[in-house]
Amino acid sequence: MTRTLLPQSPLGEVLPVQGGDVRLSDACLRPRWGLKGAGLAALLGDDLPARPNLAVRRGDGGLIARIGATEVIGLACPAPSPLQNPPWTVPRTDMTCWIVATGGGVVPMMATLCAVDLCEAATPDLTVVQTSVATIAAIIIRDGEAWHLLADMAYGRYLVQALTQSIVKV
Amino acid sequence: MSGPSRLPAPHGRLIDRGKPVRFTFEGRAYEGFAGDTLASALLANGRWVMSRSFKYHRPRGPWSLRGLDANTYVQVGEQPNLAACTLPLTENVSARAQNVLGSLDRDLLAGLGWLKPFFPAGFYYRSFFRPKGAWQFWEPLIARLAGLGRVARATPHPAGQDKAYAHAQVAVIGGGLAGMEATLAAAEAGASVLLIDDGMRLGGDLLAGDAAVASRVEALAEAVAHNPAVQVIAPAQCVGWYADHWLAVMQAKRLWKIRAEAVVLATGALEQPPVCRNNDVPGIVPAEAVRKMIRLWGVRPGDQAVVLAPDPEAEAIRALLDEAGTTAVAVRAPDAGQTLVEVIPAPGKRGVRAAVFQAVDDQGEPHGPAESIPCDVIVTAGTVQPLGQLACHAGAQLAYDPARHGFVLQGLAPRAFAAGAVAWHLDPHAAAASGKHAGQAAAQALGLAADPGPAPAAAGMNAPWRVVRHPKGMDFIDVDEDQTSADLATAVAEGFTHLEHIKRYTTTGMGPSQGRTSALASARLARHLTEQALDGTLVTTQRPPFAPVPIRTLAGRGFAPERRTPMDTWHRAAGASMMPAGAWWRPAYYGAEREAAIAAEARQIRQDVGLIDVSTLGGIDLSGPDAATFLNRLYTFAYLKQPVGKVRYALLCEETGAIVDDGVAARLAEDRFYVTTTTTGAEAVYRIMLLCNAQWRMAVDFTPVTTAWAGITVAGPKARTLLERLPCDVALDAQSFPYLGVREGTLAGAPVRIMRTGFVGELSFELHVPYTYAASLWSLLMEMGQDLGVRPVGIEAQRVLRLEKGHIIIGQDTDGLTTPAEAAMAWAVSGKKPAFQGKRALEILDRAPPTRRLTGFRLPESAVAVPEGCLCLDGSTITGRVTSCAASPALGHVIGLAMLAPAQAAPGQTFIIKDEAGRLLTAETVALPFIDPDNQRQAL
Repeated sequence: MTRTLLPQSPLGEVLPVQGGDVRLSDACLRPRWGLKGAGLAALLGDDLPARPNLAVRRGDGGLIARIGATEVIGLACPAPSPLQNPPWTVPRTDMTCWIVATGGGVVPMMATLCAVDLCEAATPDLTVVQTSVATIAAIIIRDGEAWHLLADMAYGRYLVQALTQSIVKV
Repeated sequence: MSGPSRLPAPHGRLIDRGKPVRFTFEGRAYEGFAGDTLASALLANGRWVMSRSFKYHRPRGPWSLRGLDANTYVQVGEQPNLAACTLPLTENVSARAQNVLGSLDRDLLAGLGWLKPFFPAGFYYRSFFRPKGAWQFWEPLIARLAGLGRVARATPHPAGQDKAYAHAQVAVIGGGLAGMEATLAAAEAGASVLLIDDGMRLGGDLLAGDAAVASRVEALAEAVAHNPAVQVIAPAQCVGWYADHWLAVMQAKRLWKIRAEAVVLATGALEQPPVCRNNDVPGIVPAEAVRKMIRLWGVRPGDQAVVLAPDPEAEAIRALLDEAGTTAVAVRAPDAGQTLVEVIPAPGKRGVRAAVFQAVDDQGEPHGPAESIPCDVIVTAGTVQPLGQLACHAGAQLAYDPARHGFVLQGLAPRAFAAGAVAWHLDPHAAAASGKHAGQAAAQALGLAADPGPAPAAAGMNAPWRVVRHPKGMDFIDVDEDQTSADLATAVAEGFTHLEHIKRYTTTGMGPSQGRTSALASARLARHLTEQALDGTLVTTQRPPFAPVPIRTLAGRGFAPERRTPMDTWHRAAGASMMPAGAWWRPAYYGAEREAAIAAEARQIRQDVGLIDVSTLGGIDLSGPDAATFLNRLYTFAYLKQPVGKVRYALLCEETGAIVDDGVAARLAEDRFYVTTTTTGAEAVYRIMLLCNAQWRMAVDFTPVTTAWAGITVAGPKARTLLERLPCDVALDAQSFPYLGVREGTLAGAPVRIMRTGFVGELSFELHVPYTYAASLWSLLMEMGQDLGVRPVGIEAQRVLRLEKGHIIIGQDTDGLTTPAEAAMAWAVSGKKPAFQGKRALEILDRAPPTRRLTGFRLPESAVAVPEGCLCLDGSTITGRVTSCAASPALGHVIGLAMLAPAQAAPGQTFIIKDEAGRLLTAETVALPFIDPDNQRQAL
């Protein structure tokens, strides 16, 4: 008997969620990748954000978020192949759950979970926020009308539960 | 004063007479209207007494009607200390009085006031601490007699509590005229503004003002509500103002944490009670409260009133009373020859019967002929205390200004502004102007507006009221704490001259009002008694919270982060009992019967094959040319010559030589290692690696990959048979893939890292696959191994299996000081390396004789396992403790590990274990491991 396994999202059973003016969607099976170490500028060129905590939107609709001087996360775009190491690849696909939040209620919802001001004036488009959400480490990226929430994959269900409860409260 | 006293419309602009609301107070049924507060509804029903005092259980009635005093605190259900004067009336609400023995009207402790001579200030400090331990007896009794509401200790944390963050360029505290003007001015300048107000409606109290003021307030409230730059948090109470304009604000079930760049304080001022004998009797109220009673709730305050106020306020109050049909039988100004020295109470001290006026001497004591004026309400005005306590939290001070006969705010924090009555702009027009200026100044401080010029001068000032010290006492300085002028005099006589010391000795200012109704009088009297000038006197230290904060509000919403392995749903569906390990949940065993399940699972691994979810083990990828060098310098073992494709045990010590973690280091390439850690040690080991390399500066990079790679251990004699049924590009035979090997490849299409390890002492393949593949792989293995008898195995069985093999668990078999030698793991320490973490300490420790050693033991056939931690004895001397103990399914008797004295550790000796019931068991030391000493099973 032969069998080929396919990846399964751990959040597939609990997302999407629609409540109030917020929709939470599961993007755990969408492509994402990480690179860290020297050589990012040569590898990514203009796709490397100018400084940490910024993201750039690529022509193919993907995003590259810079989360440190020498570390990036790519979302919804193909991973470049380094010809040499560093930079080293980071297995973001399985390390990091990816939840997309949309709707006018996202900012008030997040205000019950996160100390960072996410209003547009303080957190404009393509801002990357590395912070604590519901007491766990998380990365928040503002992408136009959408918010990308990235956190440890094993905390994924907990994070969805915390977000969902906050939708109800708001 | 008794019977209903509701006035006809147009009085009562907040109540809806078409919507009656039924409620009970002290078990008696009443009726009010929608828009009432509990207090206004009680007043409308002729009930003034709403509470009993803290110490003497004297009847108390409303004072501020703003929730700023404790006189209307009631208990509603399980919620204590709710201010009835701000509690919206709701249908069928049932409230009770607090701090009474019996009932509010028939309080069995009402006579405590007669014992006042036996309760002087400082009484508690002298009376209840001898003999030693006496306080433990008295404290609960005193708490019952003198407490406030009752806390329902068994009540679970209510659902729906939470905390939220808010941010604004300008925060305005107080939604009166000044606050709303400040809000709009700052918003107009382009600032984002957050307005915090404690009222049910913006400008609430001022709605009771004259028509022009009320109209202006409504217009401002409308403008605020429709300004997109303004966020209003109301009704809400700011309870703390911390460094850098961090504000704590309570709102219903939410605690707001607000960060502002500038703050405008517009909290107003509070009328102060006159100090005279029986000045706490219900029916003595400030004019602003009377105004609200009449105009907002349509409550007639009484039949005959005595007014204590300077002109022109006195005439305005007289006109107000006329509106309600209350006769002002006397109007007295503060500078008249006589002052109010005593209030004659109605029977039971439940109301006012007369006001007594008399001249007072320099000491504040009455003398000369007295005039008694019958009345049922006394209305006061002209002496206020600015509500500047919040600014004091943030470093400002309230200092006495003799020109104003009151305290003024000084030393405001940078980008903090005061407006309105809190800054002595007592006239509504002046308050509005000061608010507008403060809003502009806040915007200017943020670079959003031009300099608005100098702030308008404040013209407000207090009437120079005297503090009356009545020879018969009961002249309360602090009604919260039942402290009279005699109590302050006692403190001064005891030698306390500083206000802070007097405060602590008498507790004046330490009640729920936090000095809001006592600071002015106590400062005046204390300075007089100590013959010190009032000029420049500071109020005592003001600390958060400004108002009582329920513990549930502080607790907020509970967060309990949980990490789940990919197989978590499968485990729970299979009937696993889950156990926590840090934030992780792991399956302990499967089935209802714990001991039977553990034994069956352990036997399964020894006989056939089982699956263990090891996803919680920490994982760190090390990449770079110095990866091996780094590991070699950090861990105790040797890694420089470790071949690619091999796994080595990894033992980590701290600088003291104590073991802190263990795992394995798998070399995937010359410059890549995959290092595992214990479940709870992953983050600490990662931090240690980062810290060490911050000093060592090696060319190595660290990536925590704990979650990226889920782990499944396939263990048992049939493990290889099972795995070979799945498509795999890694050769699994023993020759190609020997014990302690590591391979990368694919398994059933999933990327995989496979390690041959032997924690449970059987043929084992540790499969590390991406998180998103692991659940399907687990299910596939269970399906493919059905005929082999495969079953899931929990952590408890794994612990038994590793014990049989003599493997330790860090943190269970070791403590915070255990060295590798003590743990019988000297084999894991390289003696040839020049350095590793802890090496220097271990070398020093090795020079001394050993003091303990981890040793295997067995109990007699009939014995049952003893708990970890049981003492080991040599005669009556404690020589160690049991670290692990379990019934071994493979051996048929109980085995364990114990940290023993070296002299006891040789195999074949006996020692005594004292179990948790005190029984003494004889144990025999055994050489480790208990099974398979030649490692034949795991090397299959």
